[in-house]
Amino acid sequence: MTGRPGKLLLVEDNAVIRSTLKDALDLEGYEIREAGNGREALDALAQPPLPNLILLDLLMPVMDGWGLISELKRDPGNPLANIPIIVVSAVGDRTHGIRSLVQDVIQKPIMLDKLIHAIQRFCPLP
Amino acid sequence: MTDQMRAITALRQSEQIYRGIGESLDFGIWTCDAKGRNVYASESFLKLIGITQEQCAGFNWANALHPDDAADTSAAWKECVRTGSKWERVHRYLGVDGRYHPILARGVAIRNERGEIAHWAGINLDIGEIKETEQQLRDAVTARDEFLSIAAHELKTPLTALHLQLQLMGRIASKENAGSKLATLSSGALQASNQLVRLLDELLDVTKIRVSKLALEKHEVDLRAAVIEGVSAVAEEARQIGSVISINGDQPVVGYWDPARINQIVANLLSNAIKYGEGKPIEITVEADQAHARLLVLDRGMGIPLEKQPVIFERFERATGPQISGLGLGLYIVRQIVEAHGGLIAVDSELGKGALFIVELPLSEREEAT
Repeated sequence: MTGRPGKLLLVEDNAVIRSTLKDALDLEGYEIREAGNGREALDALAQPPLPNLILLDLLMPVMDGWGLISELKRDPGNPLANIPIIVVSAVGDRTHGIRSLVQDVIQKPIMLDKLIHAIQRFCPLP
Repeated sequence: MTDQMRAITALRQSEQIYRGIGESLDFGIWTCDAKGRNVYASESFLKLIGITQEQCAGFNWANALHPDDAADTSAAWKECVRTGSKWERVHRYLGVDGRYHPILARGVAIRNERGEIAHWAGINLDIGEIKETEQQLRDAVTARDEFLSIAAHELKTPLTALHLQLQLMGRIASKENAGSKLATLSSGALQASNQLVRLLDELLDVTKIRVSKLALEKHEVDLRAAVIEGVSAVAEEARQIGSVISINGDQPVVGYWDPARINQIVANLLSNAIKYGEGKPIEITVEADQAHARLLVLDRGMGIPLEKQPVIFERFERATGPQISGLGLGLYIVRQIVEAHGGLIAVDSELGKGALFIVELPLSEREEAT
C-alpha cells in the first residue's frame, strides 16, 4: 500500500466522532490512521509512511491541535512541516493564528459532503 | 400670650413636623445655607455616619463618601450651588458599621422674594435594597447566560457525533438502495438533526453575543459566491414548498468580511424567505457601489405588519404567532453580525405582499495585520 495516495491521519479525541469519520472516509476509499490527541499524532507520524493529509481537531487533551501544528511547523525543512492540514473544530472564532498555517478550516458540526469535498481538493484519489 | 410668642410656638411646631417627616424615612432630610454648607441633617443620617448635629456645619463630607464618589460629588455640588439647579445624585456614604451605603440625594434651592437662593433643602434616600436587588438581577442574568452557554456547549459534542452518524447512515443506505425505507428514514432523521444543529448554533451565538462581542475572522469573501452556495444548500427545501429562487447580479462582490458569518447572514435570510414566503418566487440581488456591498432578499409571502417591523431584530421576537417554529433569534443574530462588520440591516414590508430585507456591508480594504 506504500506510495498509494489517499492516506489520512485523523486526530480527534472524541472516539465516536473519530470512528464515524473513519467509517465514512473508508467508504470513500481513503486509508485512515487514527490518533486521539497531538501526542499520539506525533507518535503515528514517526512510523512511515507519512500521510498525504492530516485532519485535525483543536480542543484535545495532552497535546491540542495548536500544539501539534506548532510542533510540526517548527522546522520548515522537515517533511512533517509540508503535510497539508485540514482543521476540523468547533472553535471557529479562535483559529485566527493558524489560518495561514493550514489548508482549510471546517466547522463542527461536520457536514460530511463539505469535509469530503475539502479532502478531495488537497488529497485527490486516483 | 403675645403675638410674638404665638408665632414662635407655631414656628417650633412646624419645625417639629418637618423633623418628624425627616425621621420617618431613611435617611431623612437635610438643609444647607445659600453657600451650600450643611446646617441640618436628620438623626437617622447622622447616626449612620456617626456625627452630631453640631458637627454638621464644619464637616468635611468628602471624608464620609466613598473615595470613588468624593471628588465627583464635591465638584457637582459646587456647580449645583453656583447654578441653582436641581440636585440629584447617587453616592455611597461610609457608615459607622464600616460598610458603604448607597444613597440617593435630591434637593432644591429655596429662593427669597428677590429670587436669590436663601437655602437648600432635600432628602437622603436609602437605596441599599434597590441596589442589592439590581445586583441580584444582574447576577441572575449572568447566571442564565453562563448556564445557556455551558448547556449549549455540552449539547454540541454528542450532537456532533449523532449528526455525523446520521449522515453516514444516510450515505450507506442510499448507496445500497436509494429508494429503501432505511434511506428515507435516515434522510428524515438527518433533517431533524440539521434543525437541532441550527437551533443550537443560534443559542451558542446568542451567548457569545451576550458574554462578549462577536469575534470576526475577516478574509476575502465573494458575497455573490456565498449567495450561490447558500441557495444551493436550501434548493431542496425551496423545491418542496414550490418557491423558485433567482439571483440578480452577475459580478463577484468581494469584500473583507468573516466568511462563516457571511454564510450565516445568507442562510438566515434565505431560510426566513422560504419559511414566510408562502411558496412564491424569491429574488436575491447582490450589488455594490464604491463603498458598500448590498444583499437584497425579497419574498412575496405573508409580510410583516408595520408595528412588528421595528422589533423583529430584537431577541426572541417573531413577526408571527407560534405556528411557525423557531427561537426568534435568527434576525437578532443577523443584525449583530451585520453591525459587527460596520454594516446596516433594514426591512421593507407590507402585510400580505412579502418582505424585502436589505443588508449593507462596507467594502473596506484589507486591514493591516496586527
